[in-house]
Amino acid sequence: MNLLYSFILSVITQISILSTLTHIILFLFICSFLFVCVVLLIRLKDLRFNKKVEDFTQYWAPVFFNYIGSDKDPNEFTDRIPKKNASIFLLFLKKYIHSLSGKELQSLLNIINNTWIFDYLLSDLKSRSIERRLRAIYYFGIAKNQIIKPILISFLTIRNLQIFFQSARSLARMNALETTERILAGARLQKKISQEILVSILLEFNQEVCEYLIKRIYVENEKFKTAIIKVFRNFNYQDASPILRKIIDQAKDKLLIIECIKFAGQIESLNALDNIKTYLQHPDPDIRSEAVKSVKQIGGDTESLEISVNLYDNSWQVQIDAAEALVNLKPVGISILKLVAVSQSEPRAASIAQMVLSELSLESGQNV
Amino acid sequence: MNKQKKRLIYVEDNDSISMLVKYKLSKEGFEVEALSDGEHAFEIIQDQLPDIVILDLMLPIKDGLTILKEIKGNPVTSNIPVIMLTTHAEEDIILKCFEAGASDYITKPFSTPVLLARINKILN
Repeated sequence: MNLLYSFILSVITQISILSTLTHIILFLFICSFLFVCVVLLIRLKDLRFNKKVEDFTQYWAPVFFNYIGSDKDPNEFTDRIPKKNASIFLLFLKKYIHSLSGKELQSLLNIINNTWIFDYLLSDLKSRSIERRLRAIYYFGIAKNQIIKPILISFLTIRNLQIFFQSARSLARMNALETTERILAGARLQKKISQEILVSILLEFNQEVCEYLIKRIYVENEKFKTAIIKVFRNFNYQDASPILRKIIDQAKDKLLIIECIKFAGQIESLNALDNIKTYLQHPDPDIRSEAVKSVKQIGGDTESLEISVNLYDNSWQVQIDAAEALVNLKPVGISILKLVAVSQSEPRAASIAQMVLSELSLESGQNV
Repeated sequence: MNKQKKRLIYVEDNDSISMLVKYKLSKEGFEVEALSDGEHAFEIIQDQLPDIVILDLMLPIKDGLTILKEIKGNPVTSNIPVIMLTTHAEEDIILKCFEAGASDYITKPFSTPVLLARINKILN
């Protein structure tokens, strides 16, 4: 009886397992089918849109090309374009905006600023759709539309990183220098903002932004200070040399220290040389590496002895950087390298010195 | 008597710009052939022997500098003037173009009237 009972139980269990398995397989099959359908629908939608763009281009390109660079009123051309094709037209415009300059570019920007496209984009600015708002902000920024500036400034306090980023970038493209402080203030409200994003915004301004940033640098946090120094470095802003010393003195963040050292080297800031020399013995090898390069750039051969200490560094990279710095500091640097190359006490430093000297021999074609 | 049209090959992967340049230069009396990648550019140039070539530096499959070297390295095509289109005005890239035999360069973004002026200067 027991045996029969266990047999029946086992059969029921197996049927139940099989049934569950069948359900799982069926469920997976339906999911896969639905997934394929969704992919196909998206693909079809893309194809349909691409076809629309292609048709639009085919039809409007000759009229558009005749208009580009001409003194014609843009409305003569845009009034003929159906407003339902606005999105496609904007995409079409974008392809040319980034490739053309001079009068041709100006004629494209006139379309954005002086035709029904302006009203279309203005309504997009007020749209609930983030995508549409971003698009409008982008085009107004490209077109340097001053009328829109107050709206863009108001967007700087919106806690949406995309809206903030695009608005700040558009203001920077307009070179609205008076908004620099507001952009930095807005950036502080954005929790997810990275240093790279901030730098990319600030670099859209022209070099004059440095004069505004130098006034702000002391009050900003280290992340923002690093971004500002990066901007200075990009614009090779020599006027920042006097403040560098204080910034380095106060810096605690590794990235900020490295950025300051790099910048000091780039602009050959004599004011900062003594501070940077103290970093030759910093516990962090990345900082020591940058300090070596920077001291060489600022001090030249008068600093050869200071740099030579780093030939015996415990970091291989710092040793190589020191040797490469010395090889460029002729004749003192090369004399030091020659001495180190034959020394017995420090085999690693000796081999690095030999390597750098032999590279120099190969490059110059002379036995150094 | 009709003035013979100058033949020009324009190699550019941006189809929109390619269309515009083709349109503008055709209106100025050039016979323009636009190519969208560098793969067979040299073979076509060798086959058609245009009066001038405009080469974008960044091209799919084969870059503009390689094509330029091919043009200048072949006695049949070496006399064809080449204008390079570069996205960045980086000194080393421009120097490389001139070392390889480019007649001129234009940085993007550019304007078609300036391109036309450079073409005419070289051809005249």
